[in-house]
Amino acid sequence: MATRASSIILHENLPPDCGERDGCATAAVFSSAEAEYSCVRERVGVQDLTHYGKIAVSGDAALALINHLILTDLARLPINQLQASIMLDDHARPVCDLLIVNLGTQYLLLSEGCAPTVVVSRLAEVAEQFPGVVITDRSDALGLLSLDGPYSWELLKVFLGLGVIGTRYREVVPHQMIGGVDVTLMRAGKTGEYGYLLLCAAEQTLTLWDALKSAGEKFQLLPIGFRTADLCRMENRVFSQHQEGAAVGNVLELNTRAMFGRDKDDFVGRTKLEEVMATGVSRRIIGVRFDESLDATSDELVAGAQLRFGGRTVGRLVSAGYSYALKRWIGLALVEEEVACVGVNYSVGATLASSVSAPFLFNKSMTIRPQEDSYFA
Amino acid sequence: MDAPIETSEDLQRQKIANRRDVLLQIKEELIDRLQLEYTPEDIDDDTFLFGSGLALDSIDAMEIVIGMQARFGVLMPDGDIASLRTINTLADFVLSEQALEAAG
Repeated sequence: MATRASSIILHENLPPDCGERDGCATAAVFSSAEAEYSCVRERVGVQDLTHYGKIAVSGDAALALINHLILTDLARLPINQLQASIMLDDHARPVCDLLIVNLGTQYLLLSEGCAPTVVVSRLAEVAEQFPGVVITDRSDALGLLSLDGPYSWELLKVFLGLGVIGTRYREVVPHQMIGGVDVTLMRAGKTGEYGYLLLCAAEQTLTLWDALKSAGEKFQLLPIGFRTADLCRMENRVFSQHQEGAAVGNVLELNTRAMFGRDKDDFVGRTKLEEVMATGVSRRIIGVRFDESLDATSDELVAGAQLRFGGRTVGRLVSAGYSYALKRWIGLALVEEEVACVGVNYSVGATLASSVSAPFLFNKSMTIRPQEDSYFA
Repeated sequence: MDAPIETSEDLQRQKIANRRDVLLQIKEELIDRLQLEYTPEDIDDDTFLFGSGLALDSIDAMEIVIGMQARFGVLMPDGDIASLRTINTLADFVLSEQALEAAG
């Protein structure tokens, strides 16, 4: 049930029940999922990320506290850069996904996958072990939007000039003026295309939203709901707590062994993870694509559907969606390690599925060079 | 249209074993050539080579191309960035080249 609401809903004249994410009323779809999808994959779209938690952690032991609760190691994260990570519970299961920003005097945790209050509680539970740490929930005080798409950099260039194309992946640039709004610009996204997060004071979110939409008209920009964002994440195999995160028994089933911070001090779930590392995971998440004859409007593929191989059940589907780019259904499945390999064919009900390499598609952004290309060329 | 789907369990298990051998060799080559502080068991097949995965860079990409040629005798064309996404996409490329060669 929603306990917060994005101001964008009222601003865009959407019904109050247009969607809910992480306890926040926010739009699942603004116009049409297919139109929004083509916007992200071909041009640029704007996302309302009001539902994200925005939690500041400061004090001498801030790094140690955060490191105690996440999979990765923050120790080498430079000031004005961000790192993607996963918050863990005591059993090494994922709680939410995080983008952790080192702002110098504090860390800002941008969380998705659970209500911000859950993240704050999790931090507060262990804070006693880290004296002097201050945890502040700024989720309602800060606004967060994003631009995603192969030409998102070009839209930002309208406001920030040519210099914006030099912003490196995961770089954080404070005090950028966009439409009269003081914005912290972060080059990061979850769609596989060029992506930028735009953090501002909450009361200026609508001004920023309107400025981006207005400048975006010539790019045929559309607002993007979380349904399209979820599909793009799945296509690019960007971790989502809402999709595969909630299904796994431990974080290593998400193919995250390379993220495991071996060199840092003890952290929650470490013993469990070391046990799993020693024996190997018994199952893991894989990408599957379905027979292309399955119609886009089919309701055959639902989370929980069994995957069968060799006459027995070897896993289950944890999410599925119709990929407009690939013109077929795709999904993520949690499958026994023995047969969790690219090229294997499974049956899901009456439908055939084949496991494929991550990511599902080749992004247009990988062919775009901001120094040379333009949406208008 | 999709190619006919192979459903023979024995044949599929053979394909799994073959692919896992290639995946292991790729991981060993990357660890050795790029001096990565990992063991092959630390690297999942779907690990991204750049960004949030192994965090490699463009110099490393050149080394990977050289490594695939040295280990498997396959030459990655210039600009084949689609094959340089994950360990699995590298394996897709190697296996596809090997299949072409076997077909004569």
